[in-house]
Amino acid sequence: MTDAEILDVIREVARTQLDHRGPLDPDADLGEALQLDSLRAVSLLVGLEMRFRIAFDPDDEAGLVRVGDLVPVIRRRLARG
Amino acid sequence: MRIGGVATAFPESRVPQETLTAALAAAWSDHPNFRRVEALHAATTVRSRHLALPLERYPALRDFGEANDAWAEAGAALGEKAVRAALDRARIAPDEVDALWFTTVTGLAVPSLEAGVARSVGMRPDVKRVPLFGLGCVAGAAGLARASDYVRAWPNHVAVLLSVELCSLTMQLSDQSVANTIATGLFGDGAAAVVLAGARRAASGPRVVATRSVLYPAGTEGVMGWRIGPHGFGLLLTAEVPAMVRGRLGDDVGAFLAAHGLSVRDVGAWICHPGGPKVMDAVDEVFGLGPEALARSRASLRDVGNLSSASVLHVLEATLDAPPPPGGWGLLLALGPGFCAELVLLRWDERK
Repeated sequence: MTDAEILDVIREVARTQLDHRGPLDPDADLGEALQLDSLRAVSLLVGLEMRFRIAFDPDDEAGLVRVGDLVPVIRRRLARG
Repeated sequence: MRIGGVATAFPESRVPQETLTAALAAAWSDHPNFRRVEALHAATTVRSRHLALPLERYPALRDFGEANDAWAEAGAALGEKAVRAALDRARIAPDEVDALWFTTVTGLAVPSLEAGVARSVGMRPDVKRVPLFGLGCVAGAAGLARASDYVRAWPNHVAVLLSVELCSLTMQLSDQSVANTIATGLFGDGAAAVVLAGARRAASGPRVVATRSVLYPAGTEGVMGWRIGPHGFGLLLTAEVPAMVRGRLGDDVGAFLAAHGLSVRDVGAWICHPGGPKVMDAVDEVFGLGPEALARSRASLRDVGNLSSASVLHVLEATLDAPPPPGGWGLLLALGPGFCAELVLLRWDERK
């Protein structure tokens, strides 16, 4: 799966789980772009875990600032299998 | 008018939270990261809940119809128990009851469930029945308020409010969303009944001094509620409830109390619907409450979970058992779908 494909799935999860409409720029601030409060943040992460069949570590989540930061984390988890 | 008596009734089966979480782990063996479910369940602060059915029977409920049948059967028995106990406490005979209000949001029945309860406890054939559906968690407070309106108009009359909420029978095992995961960890089963006596009837509990309903503006409909689907009741839940408390409830409570010459400092008993820990934290913060103010609400949530409309009545029962000093004021409050709030001002008698 390419980074662009991973980003497309992130957009799909943002739309289905958070009802996010409009573009989602990889350089955008993750919290601001998706209006993440505690419940929405967990909903996004669980949505991604379900869609990719992966499990994030707490360390993964600590480093997330921009939308695009999700991509390498997801790539690593997919590679781990 | 006064509160004559309050009683709760719970199913026999009481299950520790860890056991419920473990049962969900078995049902959700395909969940990619069950650690999140455990964390969300732990964050509810709930330690045990009563279940209408033995735990092993839930996976066998094939559809909404079967769950609803179980709700009707268990709910009728539990409702009867709660009404009998509340009437006993109020020292009022069933045939003295003039109006029976019933609220639930966890099952459907036509005729509504309280018809059978009225007959089985021995109420008169001319008892006025008022079933309420759709108010959700606010209905314990709103039902109490509407029943008190009734006895305000009919001071010789007695009204009973019955709440039956079997939340476990609304559980959607096919839905692993975060909102539903929280629901599987938060909500429990129980029933509660309150007896309200008109001003010309003898009763020993606090007076219902005033009530106020608050319906928030358009745009708040999606804060919480049910989305009805082929599998029954699907939970709509957002993180906006604490924000509604911080942004709105403070002013609404302040205005309600001020209309009676009171302020937050005059409230000796806070009887708050224990929706969840974050909602109660927000109430604490907005009103500047000490740790004791919501201790009964937090204990209720810990011991039996969120019982939807029955929860605030469970807290009221505990408050009547250990009331504020004579002359003390109580504020009963709940929030619910609409989005809305209901406030009930209570006062205990001065020492004679």
